[in-house]
Amino acid sequence: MKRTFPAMAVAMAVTLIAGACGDDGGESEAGGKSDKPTVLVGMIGARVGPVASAGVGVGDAIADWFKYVNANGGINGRQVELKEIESEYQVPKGIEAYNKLKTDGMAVALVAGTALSDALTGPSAADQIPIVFPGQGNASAVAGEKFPYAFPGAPTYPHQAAAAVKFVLDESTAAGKSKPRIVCLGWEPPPGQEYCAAVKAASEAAGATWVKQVTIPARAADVKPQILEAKAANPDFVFHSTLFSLAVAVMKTACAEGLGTKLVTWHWAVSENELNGAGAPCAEGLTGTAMGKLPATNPAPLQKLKDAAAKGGYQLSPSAGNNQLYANGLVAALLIHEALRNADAKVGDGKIKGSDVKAGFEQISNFTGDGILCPTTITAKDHGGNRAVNVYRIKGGAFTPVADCIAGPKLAGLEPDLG
Amino acid sequence: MDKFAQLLVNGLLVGLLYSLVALGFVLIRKGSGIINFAQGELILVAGYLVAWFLTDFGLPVLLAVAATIGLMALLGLSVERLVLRPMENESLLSLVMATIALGIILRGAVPLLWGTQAQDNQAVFTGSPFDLGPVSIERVNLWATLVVVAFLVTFGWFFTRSRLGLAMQAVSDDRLAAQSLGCDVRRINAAAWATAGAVSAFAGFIWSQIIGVNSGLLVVGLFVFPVVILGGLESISGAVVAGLVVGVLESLTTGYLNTSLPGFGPVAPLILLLVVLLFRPHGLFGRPDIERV
Amino acid sequence: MGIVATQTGKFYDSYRREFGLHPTRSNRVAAWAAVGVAFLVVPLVASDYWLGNLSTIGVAALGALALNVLTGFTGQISIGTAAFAAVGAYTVGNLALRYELSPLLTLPAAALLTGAVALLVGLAALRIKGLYLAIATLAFQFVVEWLLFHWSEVTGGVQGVISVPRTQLGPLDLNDPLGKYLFIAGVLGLCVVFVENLFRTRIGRAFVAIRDQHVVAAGMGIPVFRYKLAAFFCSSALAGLSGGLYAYYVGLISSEQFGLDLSVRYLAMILIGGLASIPGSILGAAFVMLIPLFLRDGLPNLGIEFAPGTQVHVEQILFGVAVLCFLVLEPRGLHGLFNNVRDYFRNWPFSYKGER
Repeated sequence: MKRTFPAMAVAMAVTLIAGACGDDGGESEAGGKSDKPTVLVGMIGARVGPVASAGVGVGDAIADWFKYVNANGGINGRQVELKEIESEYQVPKGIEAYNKLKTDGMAVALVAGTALSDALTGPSAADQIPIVFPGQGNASAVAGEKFPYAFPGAPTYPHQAAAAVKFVLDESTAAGKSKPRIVCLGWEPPPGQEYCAAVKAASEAAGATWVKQVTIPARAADVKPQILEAKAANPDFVFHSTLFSLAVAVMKTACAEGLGTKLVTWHWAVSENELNGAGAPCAEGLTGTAMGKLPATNPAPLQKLKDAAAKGGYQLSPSAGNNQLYANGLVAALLIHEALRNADAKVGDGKIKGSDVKAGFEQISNFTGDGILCPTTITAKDHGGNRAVNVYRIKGGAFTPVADCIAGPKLAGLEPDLG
Repeated sequence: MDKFAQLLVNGLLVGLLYSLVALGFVLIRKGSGIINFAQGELILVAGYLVAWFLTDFGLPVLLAVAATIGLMALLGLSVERLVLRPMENESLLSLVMATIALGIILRGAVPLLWGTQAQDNQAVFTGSPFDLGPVSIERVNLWATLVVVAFLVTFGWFFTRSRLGLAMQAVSDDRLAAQSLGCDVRRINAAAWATAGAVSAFAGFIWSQIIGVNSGLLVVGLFVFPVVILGGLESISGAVVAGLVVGVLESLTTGYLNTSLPGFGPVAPLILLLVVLLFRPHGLFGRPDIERV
Repeated sequence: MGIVATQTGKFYDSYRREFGLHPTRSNRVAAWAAVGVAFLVVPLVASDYWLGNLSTIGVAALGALALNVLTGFTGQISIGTAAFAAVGAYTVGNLALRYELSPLLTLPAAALLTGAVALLVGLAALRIKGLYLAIATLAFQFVVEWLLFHWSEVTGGVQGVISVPRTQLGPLDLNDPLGKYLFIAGVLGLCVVFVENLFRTRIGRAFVAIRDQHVVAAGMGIPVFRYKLAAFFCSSALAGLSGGLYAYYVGLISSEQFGLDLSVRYLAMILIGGLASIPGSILGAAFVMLIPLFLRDGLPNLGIEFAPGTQVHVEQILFGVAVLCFLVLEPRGLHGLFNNVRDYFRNWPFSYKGER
């Protein structure tokens, strides 16, 4: 045999062993006995790729949540099996994951990543399996009659942008400056561009002064020219839609140029990742929006998870301390939980099908998920859930809430008119 | 004018950092003839190692960097021994793919070892930036400049005066002739990779001070190619000059063209690369390969 | 090399037979068996899930085949295959969405347009050799990615998404897993026959000559540059076709899906499957596509379970290790492995270790 075969074999064995000794807390199994058939929830993850930090936070949160639910009697005695399949943010892999989970009989899927949720909207309607993708994806998906099985369930980009703009505008007006100047640093890929387009529309609709959008390339290592350009526009607020490493770069550079306190970020970008990366002094004054209540305010569902972990002697996922991303995942988990609860009430002891979960979603009315969500109502016509976000600011190295559940103006042209 | 000065200086400073990354690439090419497509991944590993030593072990900066240099040199040696030595006489495509595969392995290994969350990034170069008129220069950039200059001087001496350096030059010139004259090509390859690992340790440390310890460090590896095509695959000084050019080009393009051509900044050096290759298919300072039938 | 003289004792008795597409009876049997399995057995036996997987493999195999034509047969390294696939995909997407043309029109249009783009690029790029060509194609890949993000008129606006409308192609409903599979398998089959024939002709042999000894080839009178362009055109047209099939398969094209990692995956496919080997392209695509599935579904049966967070990274590492293994241990890829096994049995009991 050639010389390095032993080396290769050792390398593969080491990898497998290392992976097996990797961290726990991910796949929850259906534990406990019950008479009701288990319901399968699928998670099509994106833990690798451009939206990795979001994929990790959301995936960890939903896994932790259903592990807790199962340990505490399931949903009315029905166990929930959560299966996560990684897609690496590649559409063919996402489709394969969806098909595999469909073959396994899943009743609902949480999809991470705009490209994936777009690609799966069609199949979900054909297969009658609802897909959930809070805080991302195409805003037109809120049209429940056009896309019956697609449930954003939480504010999409236009809603987030509109709410954020309204908040800064109100705050600015209260401080005496009536038409604040707004610049948006847009991440190059479509989600980032969509966010800045929404900020522009919202600024114009709400009466702020929209100055310009500055694009941050997906492959940039240095963002100084963009920050300088933003600074030259004399902004009062600098919105940005970058993520993780680029967000850290933006924050650090903005801080060095004195724009740190003017930064307003979207809901995927401020978490412990960015806080640690940029350092607390630089992150001071950063404003951001969130779909759910921050872990810093210790909402009830998170407290339950922590208690359960402490009692059961296991650790929550590392991203549980992560604020934004984990909280966004909990929002998704709670929405799915509520829909499953409604579906379970309908089918009694029977098997829950996708169409039952769809109906379950559409019964959600003024749901706050034990205080973590803004009141959410989903109807057959409007799958948007709610359009309200919470606003927080970083003060002294910690996330401090500044406004709860505010919604912005409707942005004609960017979201469907649901009459 | 202010804007131009700021962009120019920023471009020069960032360009110097690109050169630092390209130095490792050039060393590998010079000493072992291999094109390293995994340079970004080496920077990533180095950044994580430094952060690990600084936070988890609480080592002072110098020790942390020294430890990282040691480990990265070891990594370079292992790569050469385990991956590249068995592929000594394989085709170009195999060698290209080998380093790409190596990059994939490193990219998968880092999250396994250190998780996907951002590492705590201890700011080492604290202190207010220097102000030169309208331009302010961060401390870390000054240190980076010092490091690059030090490397320039060291490698200039190394490749012209020291035995190992001269041997490396000989091997990169004509492998067979060097072997027949008694150069141990394998040891030289190993030394090249180890040195490149050490250089990457510095580069990783400095880059992580600037953009944090996260997967963003991978991006800098892509800028290596415009730099080395412009400056020559095997030229250290060429890498420094070309790095500056690429940095300035990216900075000015982003500064002036970002509205009409959004996001074109990182693409401009690539267009430059293509143009250079069009008119000088071996790069600006490269040597035409003599092909033997 | 496509056609090798037969081993152990088969003699041709006519030139026609020797130059035929499938010269020996076993070749013919294998070819017809493959067709039979692909078009008769699989549709009857496979579940929708597996039809979906096979469709994905088919699309990838076409891309791998395209790259093999350029890199395996003609020796020009390209790290920009995904960019050409993107051109094809967006051609199909735009034509289907705006003008509602049938696949019989959009796919050839995609192939021709991608080929035309390739000609333009090749006129400049093919003066560059070897390593520098690889780097140039890498740069080209990034430039195309930038275009995909920003040329919104073509790539679907801010969302960067183009939806391909439902189509019917004769009896095939292209929204149904079986319809998709048959369509993709059909197109792939036609392309396989095309490539096999290509390497029976002077043009194909010229490609191979350029790969092996391009100076000698030039000395023999082959216009090297022109044939390199032809290879580039063929390869890119096939890659564009692959992108077009992708558009029909997924039903939606997004600008983030044609990145560098896709190009690298195509390279891995041809290296794993076997350079300059048509069955190798398909085997490589199948390997790259299926191994993560087997790891994910099979490892738990062996008792090795990973948390989803770690599993994905383990898979990444194993992918890299697999590529390295093939590079070091079996440079001729899966097809080479298969040939080794076949030769062992064919030469048995005289298959002693000697030449390799």
